Amino acid sequence: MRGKIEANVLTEAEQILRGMDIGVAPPGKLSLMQGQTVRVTVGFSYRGTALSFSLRGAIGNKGVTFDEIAYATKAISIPASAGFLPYTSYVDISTAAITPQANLDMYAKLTGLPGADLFTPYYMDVLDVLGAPEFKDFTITDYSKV
Amino acid sequence: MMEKMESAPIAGPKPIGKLAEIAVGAYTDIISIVAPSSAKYGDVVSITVQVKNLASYAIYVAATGRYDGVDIAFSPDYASVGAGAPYSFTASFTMPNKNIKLEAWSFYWAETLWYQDDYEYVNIALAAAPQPEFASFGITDYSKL
Repeated sequence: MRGKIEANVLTEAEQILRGMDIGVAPPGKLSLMQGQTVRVTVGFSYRGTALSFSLRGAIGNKGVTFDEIAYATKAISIPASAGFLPYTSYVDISTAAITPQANLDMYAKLTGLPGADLFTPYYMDVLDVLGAPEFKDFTITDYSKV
Repeated sequence: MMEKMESAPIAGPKPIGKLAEIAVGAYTDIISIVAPSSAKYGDVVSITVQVKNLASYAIYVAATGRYDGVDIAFSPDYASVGAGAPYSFTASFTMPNKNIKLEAWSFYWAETLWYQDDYEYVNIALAAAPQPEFASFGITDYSKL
């Protein structure tokens, strides 16, 4: 068990270092370096008149309220439809303003609707923002004849 | 008594209200207006006006229409219709953002003029647009760019 966890940590670290683009579905966790950008993709179905509104995605800490640390918005326009049609959209959120920390939360909402804003569920502990790469204790620890 | 048509018309009647000369006759009968009882704003509304030839011989028949001050052009422009036979004229328009009264007139051709003959109307109600409705709104994926 411990070996498996260590392997996962190593794989994750390797992906971070290599800058690989890894997509994660909730409630999975995404780890990335501070300053990198997270693309948050949302899905929804809609029926009704043609509508223009905004998508807002946010990263932060959910307590009694959601403390947004970083967010991004995007304008969306969809045509009228009598039946439900599926849509996807996304916002790109920079983590430059996020102090490195683990277990960040995430949510998205639609604003500018005819009625109240529409919220996704809150996704808890889905993001770790790591600090800049840093080495220490770099020394020769041993030398031997081979 | 109207004589049989001697010369064919070159076009259908102009929209009602713009005719220079209108006479009242009894040679055609609008036997139906097929139209939806309601339509949503922006919908394309298709209508059919069925006109019957009441004469005992073939005559040229045409139809015109109007709603909310807008003239409707039917297809075909006119038709030769046999004695006692019905004929369908079709048209379509975009539903305005209000209830409308759709009016239709039938015409027959005699000698060199179109004569307005019968009149019918139907009401088309503005259907309420569906309220905007969302479903299944959620984050599906997050990835590092």
